[in-house]
Amino acid sequence: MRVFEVTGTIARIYAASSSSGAVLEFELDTSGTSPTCTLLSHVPGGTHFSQVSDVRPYDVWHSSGLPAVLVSRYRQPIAVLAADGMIDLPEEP
Amino acid sequence: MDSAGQLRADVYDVSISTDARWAFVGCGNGFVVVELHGANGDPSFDVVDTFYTVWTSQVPNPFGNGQFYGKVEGIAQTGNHLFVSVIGGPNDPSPGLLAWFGSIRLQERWENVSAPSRAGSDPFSTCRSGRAVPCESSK
Repeated sequence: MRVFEVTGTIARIYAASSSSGAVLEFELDTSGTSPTCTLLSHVPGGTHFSQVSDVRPYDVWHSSGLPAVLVSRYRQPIAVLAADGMIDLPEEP
Repeated sequence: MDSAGQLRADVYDVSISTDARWAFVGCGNGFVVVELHGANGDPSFDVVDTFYTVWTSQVPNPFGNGQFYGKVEGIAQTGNHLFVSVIGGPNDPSPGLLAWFGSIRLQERWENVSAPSRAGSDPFSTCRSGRAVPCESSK
C-alpha cells in the first residue's frame, strides 16, 4: 500500500493485493470539517492462481508530473494509476 | 509480537508515521502499533496496540466491523489517517480486496475508528471517513 500527498489536503492511497491482483485507488480529502475518502479506481483481481501473484506497487512518476503507482504482475506492468484517476492497462503480452 | 500471542508472525507491510515515532506493522491476521521511541526520544520498540481481523473473546480489538477473517496485505498512514487493506473472509471466498480507513491519534493512544469498504465480488462504492472518538473504552 502506498500513499502520495498530492496537495496539503489531498492524498491518494493505492492498495494492491499480492494474493488476488486487485488494485484500489482512493482519494483522501481533508479540506473540509470531516475527512472524506472516495474510491477512484478498481483494477479487478485475477480468477486463476496463475494470474494472481506478485502484484506490487512501485513509486514512479507519471508524465503529467503527478504521482503514480506502477503495478506489476509476474514482473510485467499491468496498470499505471496516476493521481488524476487515470488507469492505463497495457496490452497483454 | 503481540502480548496475547494471537497474531500470526507473517509481516506483509509496514508503515512509519511521519514523525517516525510509530510503526504500523501489518501481519497475517491483524496489525500492531509499535512505539519506535518514547516522548523523551529514547528507543522503545514497544507494541502499544494490536488489532485483529476477527472478533472473538480470545482476540479482542478488531478493526473494521470485525466480521471478516481476511489477511492484512497492506497498511499505510498519512497525517492522522490509517489505511488497512485486507483480502478474503468467511463470506468472501473470492479474492476481493477490502480496505479500511480510520482516524488515528498519534500523540496519545490511537483509535480504532474505521469504516469498511470492499471491492472484488461485490460492487464497490465509496469509502466512508472515520472520525476520532475517545479511547477510554479499550485502553
